[in-house]
Amino acid sequence: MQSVDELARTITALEPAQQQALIDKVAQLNFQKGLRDLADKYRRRLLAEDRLDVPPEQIWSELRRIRQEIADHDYAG
Amino acid sequence: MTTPAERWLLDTNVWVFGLRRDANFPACASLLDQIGSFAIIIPLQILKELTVNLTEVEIQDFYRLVNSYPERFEVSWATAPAERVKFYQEHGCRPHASLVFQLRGDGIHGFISQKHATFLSARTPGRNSGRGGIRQCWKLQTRENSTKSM
Repeated sequence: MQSVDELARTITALEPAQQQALIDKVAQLNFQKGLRDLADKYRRRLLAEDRLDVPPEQIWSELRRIRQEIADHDYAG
Repeated sequence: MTTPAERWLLDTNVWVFGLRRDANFPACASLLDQIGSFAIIIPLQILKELTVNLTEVEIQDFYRLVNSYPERFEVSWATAPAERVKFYQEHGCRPHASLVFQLRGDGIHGFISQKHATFLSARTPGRNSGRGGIRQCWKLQTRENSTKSM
C-alpha cells in the first residue's frame, strides 16, 4: 500500500479533470460507507425492538399514517 | 467540464425500505447504493417523515451524511406556496401527496417511490417536459431489482 505522501504525489500528477473525478469518487464512497453504517445501526435497533421483520403491510400502514398526519398539520385548510 | 448530475426525489418509503435492507424491496437498497451517480433533493415533508422513523441519533447521522455530500444533496426547507397546494387539491390530488407540493419544479428530474408514484404523472398535465416540469416518474417494482416507468 502506498504511503500518504506517495499517494499525494500520484494524485498531483493527474490531469485536473482526473483529480476532480477522483475527488468526486472519494466523496461518493465516503457517503456510501456512512449510509451503510447508518443502515446497520437502524437494523440493529429494529432487531433489538423486535421490529426488523414486521410485515411490509404494517410498515406501509405506518408510513401512510405519518404522511397523512404531517400533511394534515402542514396543509390544513 | 463536469456535467451536472440529475436531481431526483426519493420517497420516504425508498429510504425506509432501503435502510432496512428489506428483502421484499431490494431495489430500494440498490437505489440508495447508487446515490452519487445522481443527486438527491429532500423536501421538508420527507425530512419530517424520516425524523419520525429514525431516532434522534440516527437522524443526526443522516443529517451529517447529507451535509458531508453537498455536491449531491439539496435539502429544501421551504413549504409549498398555498396557491400551488390549492391547485393540486382542486385537481384531485390526495392530501398525503402533499410532498409533491414542495417540489419547486425547476431542475427536478423525477420522483422515485415504491408506491404512490402515479399521482405525479397523472396530476401534472402539461408539465411533463421542459424546464420547470417533472419529466419522469418512476415506481420501483416489488420483489424485483428493476425499475418500471410509470
